[in-house]
Amino acid sequence: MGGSSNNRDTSFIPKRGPANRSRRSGSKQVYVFTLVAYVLFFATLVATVGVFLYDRYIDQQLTNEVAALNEEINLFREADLEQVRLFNDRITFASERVSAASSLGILFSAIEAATAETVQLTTLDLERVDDNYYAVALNVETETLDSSIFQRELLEQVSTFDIAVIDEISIVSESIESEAVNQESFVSYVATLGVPQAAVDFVPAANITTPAPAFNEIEATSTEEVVTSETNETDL
Amino acid sequence: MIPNGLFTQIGLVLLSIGIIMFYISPAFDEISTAQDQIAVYQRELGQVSAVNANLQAKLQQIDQISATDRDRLLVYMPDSVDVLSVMRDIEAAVDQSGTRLVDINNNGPLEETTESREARRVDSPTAAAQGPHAHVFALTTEGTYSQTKELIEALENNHYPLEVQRLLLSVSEGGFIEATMDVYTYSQYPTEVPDVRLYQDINVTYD
Repeated sequence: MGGSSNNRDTSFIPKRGPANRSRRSGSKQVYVFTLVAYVLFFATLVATVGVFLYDRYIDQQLTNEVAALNEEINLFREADLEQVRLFNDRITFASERVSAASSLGILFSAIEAATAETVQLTTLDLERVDDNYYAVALNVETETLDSSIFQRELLEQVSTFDIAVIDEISIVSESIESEAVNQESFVSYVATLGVPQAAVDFVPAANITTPAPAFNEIEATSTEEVVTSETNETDL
Repeated sequence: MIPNGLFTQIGLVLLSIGIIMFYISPAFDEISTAQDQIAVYQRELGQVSAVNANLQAKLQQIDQISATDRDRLLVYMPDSVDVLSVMRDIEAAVDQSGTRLVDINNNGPLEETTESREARRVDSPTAAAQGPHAHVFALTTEGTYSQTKELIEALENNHYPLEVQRLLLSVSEGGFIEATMDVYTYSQYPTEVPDVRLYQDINVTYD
């Protein structure tokens, strides 16, 4: 009997029943869920603390930025800006007038160079248009139409004038006092010139050499019938 | 020690989800908003700093301009036109040229139209609305052609603008050339025209 009892102790047959095994397997599934729950919980706690601290840090940073911006705004002085603006305006205005400065001496030289010896300028009317253009009207007298044509060619050759138009042409007759029968005539016309400001730009301290004026080159003639009496006695 | 019961674990999970939903998630949104605001403030701070730095640089540039140059600029573009000084300078130019001064009149500030102002070349938009303001003097002289030309060149070489905007040359009775011209000078601000009523008031006070 004892032997059989010993044999039973050393038997390879397990002593525990199948019910115990199935219970151990059920307790392992509950452990995974527990682990997940704990991990989630502690991670949430850590995240909460982190978010709280980071939130405070960000709030502090925002406060610092607002303070820095206010400080920088307070550094701005309206009076300084006004001073700079007024100075800038003055410089701008001065620069505008400097760039618009022109030399009428250059214009006169160009007119002189383009005036034929056989013509006589009686009046010159010059007007500046919009700061960048000169409109010039010359009243011209000459003896023949040929010299008028020559004069027109001369004006057209001068690069200073972008427009050179001759119009209001008339042939005026006048009788000479001593010889009542004879009559002399002269041609009168208006030369209209357009001069861009750039063509007569002022150069400081420029030494403009002016040729002898073309005015007074035709001797005055005494007239009986005064058509243009003022211009015949003295020439411009 | 945390109990290991199933309900406890479920409670922990639910608590975690609640914390995430009702604290962490809103806190993240708040942080995100604050970060956006920080970025805006930093950008604005950069712009204000740049403006301040630029302003200081401009002030330094102005300070570096010599007093002589600043005085010259002030003479070239004064605050307002000193009518007497300008007339004196024009008279001096007439004397220098040898022409005879027939008359000189102060025609006052030029009433410039909007179109003519726009036609002028102005770089600054603020300057376009302000000036410069032209002041007109009518000058009539008599002399030879060379003298008249010398007068015009003397006006052009003045230390502030004396621009001949209109010129009429004709022959005078004595055989000289009569030059009638409109001379413009400029100021930064409009030259104030004295109010007649003020003079009347002053007269009344003196009476």
